[in-house]
Amino acid sequence: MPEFKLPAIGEGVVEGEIVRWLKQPGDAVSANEAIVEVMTDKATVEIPSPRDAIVQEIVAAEGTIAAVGEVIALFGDSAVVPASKPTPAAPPPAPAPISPAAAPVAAAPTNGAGKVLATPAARAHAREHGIDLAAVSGDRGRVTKADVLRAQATPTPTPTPTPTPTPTSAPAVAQAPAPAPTPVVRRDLGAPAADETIPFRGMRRIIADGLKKSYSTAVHYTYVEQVDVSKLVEVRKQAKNAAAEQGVALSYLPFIVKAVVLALKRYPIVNAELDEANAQVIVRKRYNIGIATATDNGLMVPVLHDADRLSLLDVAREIDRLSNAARAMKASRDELTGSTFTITSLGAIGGVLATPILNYPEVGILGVHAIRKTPVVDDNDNIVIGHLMNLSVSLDHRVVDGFEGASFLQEVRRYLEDPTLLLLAGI
Amino acid sequence: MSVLTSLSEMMAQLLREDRRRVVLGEDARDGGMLGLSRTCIADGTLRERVIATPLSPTTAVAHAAGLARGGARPILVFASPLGLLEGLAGLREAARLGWRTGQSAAVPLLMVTPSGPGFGLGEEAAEAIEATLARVPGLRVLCAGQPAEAAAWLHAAAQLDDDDAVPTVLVLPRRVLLADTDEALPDLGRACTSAARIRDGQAATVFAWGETVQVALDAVAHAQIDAAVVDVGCLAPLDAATLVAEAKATGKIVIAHAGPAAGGLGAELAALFADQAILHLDAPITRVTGADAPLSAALEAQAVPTVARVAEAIAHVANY
Repeated sequence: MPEFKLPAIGEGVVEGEIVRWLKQPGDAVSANEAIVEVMTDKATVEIPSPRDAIVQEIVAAEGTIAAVGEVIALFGDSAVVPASKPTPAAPPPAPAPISPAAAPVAAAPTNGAGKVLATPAARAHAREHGIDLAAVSGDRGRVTKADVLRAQATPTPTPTPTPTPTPTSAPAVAQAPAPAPTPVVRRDLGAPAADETIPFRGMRRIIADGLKKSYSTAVHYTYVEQVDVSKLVEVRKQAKNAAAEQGVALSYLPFIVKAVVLALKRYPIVNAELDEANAQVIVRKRYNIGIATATDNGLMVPVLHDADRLSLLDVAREIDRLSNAARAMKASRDELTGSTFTITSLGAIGGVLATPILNYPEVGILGVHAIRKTPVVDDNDNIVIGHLMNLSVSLDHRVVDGFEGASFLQEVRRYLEDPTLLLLAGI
Repeated sequence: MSVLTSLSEMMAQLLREDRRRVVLGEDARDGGMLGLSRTCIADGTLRERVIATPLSPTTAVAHAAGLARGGARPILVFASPLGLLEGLAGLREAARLGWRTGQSAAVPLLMVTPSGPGFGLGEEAAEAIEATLARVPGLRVLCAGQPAEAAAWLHAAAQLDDDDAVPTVLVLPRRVLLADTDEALPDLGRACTSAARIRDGQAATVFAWGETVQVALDAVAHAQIDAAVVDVGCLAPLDAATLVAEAKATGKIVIAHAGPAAGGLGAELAALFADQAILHLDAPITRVTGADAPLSAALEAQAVPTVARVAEAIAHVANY
């Protein structure tokens, strides 16, 4: 029987997680038609079928990690659905026995938009008996009435109701007529909702694996500085309109990216990685800035490649394009890898300080916090309204000592407090 | 006994049972091309009620319909379904005569025609005449299935009493005509206007008629699946109540019939089930039919689905 192996997806990719099978056993798939979604690093790619075939069996279930070259599915030879292929010598098998031993484990097959694929008879029976179709497994890619009957015969354990707290009666102490404590009454809101279980796989697991490696490998320390960005606020206010005329919504982030790149050039050790295996520190000469982006699927870090070669407006355009692509899960593998330093910014909810986790194997990550109006003592000892913003930089102490780390952040601060310097640096 | 012999004898019996009955057809005085009037001709008391018609089907239908209006009980025998297609104009008039006259004009006319492959003719033998006839308003269309019941179908179809004098076509599949039967049943044991379950089963239901009834029974045995078989029998008007009840029983439906799938009565049944049994359907309604193409004489057998294909369909829906 022909085997379908996980193909080489990209350079350096040795494994991928099976996110979703787009074809089920019995389905026909034509050459170059997408058959499975596989996630590598943080990019999800659709793998096409190499030829016309019938999916016979899925070997690697959704959620499993498969190595490149590993058999993930088996193809049938003929264009006949196996279950319905009669052989004159051996007649087709009788309908699958309805056995309570075959307890449903898999979730109900859906159309991809959450609607369970069930026959009308299965739907009618489930509705009549109050059975949740989503909890019925359909191992042939659909839920039939037999599946519902089987699920009905295997009752799911009902959650034990929490005992209603009864008011404790006062201890029977004759000589102490202490007032009975007021019983604590909980409002009756019905049975508490059952805990929700979220599968730990896909993006969530990849994010977790990356962070675990980073946190357990790098020696993190975080250094925080307050930056008076009053001048930058003015500059940006003016530049914003000019940028809008060119169709760019100019935020503070492009300025920060530029300041970071200039600071990295001065303190190259922050734009580096530790190659422990070869006992060497690799100092990167490209300035690829990862932009941590919150998406519906979790944290993603699209990469602004060669940020030093982009104009301020092009940095803004690229950040916009990349974050949109990441949110739409459309970012390519190249756009999600190769960063040398990462910036994480939560904008308006940026808070006061944070301890960012390094985007391993990078040695530096900059956390950007909210800009707040704050009373500031100026050079003439007058109290004025300043726009203050905190920056938190986390560094890998194995590579970057406190002095270099602090110096790096002070350099970033210097550029942000005096945008003229940015101008002179030729952004 | 051959089915043809049983039919010939039944024809004579019908003439003996009711003196108003007459048999018409090309070469009918010579026993007819199918030999259905042979016993009548051999019986001197019946011979005078066998009438030869000219080679003009429209004329023959008009003649027979006139006899029916005049109080006779004509049985018009065609040598080929092409006669009914050629005589379609007369047939349509005969079928709506009752309606045209406010049901005051009963038309107790029975027409009998062979259909489908079996004689090595090809061409029209690959068509499903019943699908065309079923669309003629006012016409009752019956189709004999099991060989043992062929004569009983003829007997039942001829019972066109005054309160049920509906112009009727009885389709006799050629494969059924050519079969032998150990025991020709004298009576159908049910109304000819009813569908009937002829094999019980829980895993699926096969709807068939005509020569495909036997194919369906063989396919169930071949597939070794506990499937029911329903002989649809009356193709127009359909016995919707029985058919829907049978469809609901298993919710896994195979429809097998001769002739093309496109525009066939299988589609009509599928639509009926989708309409009235939707909440009971547990698998795609699966049709197995003859080829959707003209067929030469050598290939005419392809006008009827094979046992293997029907068995495959049964397994498909049963294991869906």
